[in-house]
Amino acid sequence: MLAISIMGPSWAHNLKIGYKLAALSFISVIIFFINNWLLLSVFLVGLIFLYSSVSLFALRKGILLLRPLIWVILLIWIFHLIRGEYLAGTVTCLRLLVLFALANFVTVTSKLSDMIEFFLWILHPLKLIGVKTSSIGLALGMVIRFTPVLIERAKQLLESWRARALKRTNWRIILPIFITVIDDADRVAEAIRARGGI
Amino acid sequence: MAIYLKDVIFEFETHRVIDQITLNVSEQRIGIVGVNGSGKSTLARLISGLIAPISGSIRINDIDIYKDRKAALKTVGIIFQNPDHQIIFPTCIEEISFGLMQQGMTRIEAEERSNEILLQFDRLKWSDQLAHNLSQGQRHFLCLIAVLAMKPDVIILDEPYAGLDLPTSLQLRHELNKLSQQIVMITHNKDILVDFDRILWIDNGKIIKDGSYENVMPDFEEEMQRRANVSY
Amino acid sequence: MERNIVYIALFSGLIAVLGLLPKLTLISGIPITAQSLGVMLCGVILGAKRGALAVLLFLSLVALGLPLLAGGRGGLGVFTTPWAGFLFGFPIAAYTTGYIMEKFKHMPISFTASFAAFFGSIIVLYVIAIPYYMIGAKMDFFQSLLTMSPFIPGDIIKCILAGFIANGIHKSRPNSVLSWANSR
Repeated sequence: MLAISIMGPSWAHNLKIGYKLAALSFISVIIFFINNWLLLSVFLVGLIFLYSSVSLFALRKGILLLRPLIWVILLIWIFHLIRGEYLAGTVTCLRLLVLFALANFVTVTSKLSDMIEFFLWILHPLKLIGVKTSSIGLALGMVIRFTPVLIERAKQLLESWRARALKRTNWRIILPIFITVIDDADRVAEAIRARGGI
Repeated sequence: MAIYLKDVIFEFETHRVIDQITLNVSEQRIGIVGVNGSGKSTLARLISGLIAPISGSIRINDIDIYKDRKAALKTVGIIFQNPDHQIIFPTCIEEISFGLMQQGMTRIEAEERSNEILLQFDRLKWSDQLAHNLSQGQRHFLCLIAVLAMKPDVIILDEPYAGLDLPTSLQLRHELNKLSQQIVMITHNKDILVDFDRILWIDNGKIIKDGSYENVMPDFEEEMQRRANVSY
Repeated sequence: MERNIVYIALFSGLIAVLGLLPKLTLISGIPITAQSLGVMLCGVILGAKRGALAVLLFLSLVALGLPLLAGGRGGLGVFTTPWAGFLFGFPIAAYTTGYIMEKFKHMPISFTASFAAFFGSIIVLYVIAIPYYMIGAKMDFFQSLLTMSPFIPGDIIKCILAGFIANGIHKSRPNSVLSWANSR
């Protein structure tokens, strides 16, 4: 499945993911407490340089990821403006932008497999309270493996609907999608059991 | 009854799946053969009006089946390979009624007609049953009935015999033979194709051979063996 | 055991698939995305624990960088927005929904499912999401509620749909409604 991250190599790609996430957490906390719009703007500009230092493609990707956020931010800004809170509104919006873009920087410059490895590593302590982390890894792998298959199923059902319909699909298409997935789930569970179980 | 394609091109993510096909098809039984990825299924979807070509035109009985869906529902029906991936409703009667209601019938009219056609095929007892409880061949047949109920002029079938056991295949073949509609079938089943009026061999999005069984199939077989690197 | 894990994994995938469906237009013309319906149904069909795990799995994948949220969104950034309260609330919503489902087995399923979805995936969810939004967007309660109000009719309709769909699944595959199954 296509992940959001872009291909390396770059200085950011080469950093170990644990360090990136630690830095992200640390800087995010600091930014959360900054109330100075000028300082936040500096951070924003800094982020542009950060993305660019990886590649111009990275910068483009970063901006593309911002698109759905723009509406949220605009709405919030307008709400604050209506109340005459020009400064508070601008500060809030800038802060959101910075946090969002910073977090996405880690996503954009990290391979999915590295993220997964880190994720499973960080879940290790759960073993102490009896959680089977191997099952989590298996489940993770399964979702990644099967989601494109499920999408294909859904598309086939949508097609079957459109072949006999005038109108677009309505909520009724959700039922057969669930049923097909349930049938697939039963078959996969059988297949796993046939090979020794979990 | 004519299926008419002119200079049809279809691309999927810069890959040209259908490459300038022009056809005038009015025979009763048409077979489409080709390897996986040749464009057969895409051609089937184009002819049934599910997708539109990026250039060229497709008309059945002079109807633009992609744009005029109302007329299309009366004109062409399609049955896909796996019944489990195309049955939408839990019970058989709901599945058959769906298309009829889309054609404008009320629920009562649609259910009446559904039971009528089930009776015609001597399967009235399927009416309230869950499609899930039918065998795979029976589910396949349900899909056929659901399309036939809508009374199309042309029926397109994508590999209908794949995965069916022998008795079910024979039953399906028997029922299809009785149909007066124009049938376009994607299949590599020679026993079926031998009775067909015209065979289209599609490869890499182009029709490379078009004619009777005797004209097309021997060359097709030879090419398939060559590609498989086996000889008999 | 295998069945539990596979169901959790595949239902997780379902939430993603529902996000990809084109916006369903309802009778009143309100467009809704089906994804939150997926969260409701995880609770309704899988029950409390499994439902919550399925949603957590889904969120993990989004955090890991897969664009599984409706609109192809994903990555760590979405967890920094004021709307992230919904994301963090989803597993709790699924758990509550599933809990109610498990406790009310003796009523018609469409009713129980709709009620469970309403209480778990609307009431509980908004109880978490609204304060989170207030803090993140620095808005007061009424402003926040106003921002979210366009989605509320759609969400209520989704609860009713969840009831219909649960009924359909129970009719077709009664053994797969894990929330109502007797064995673990």
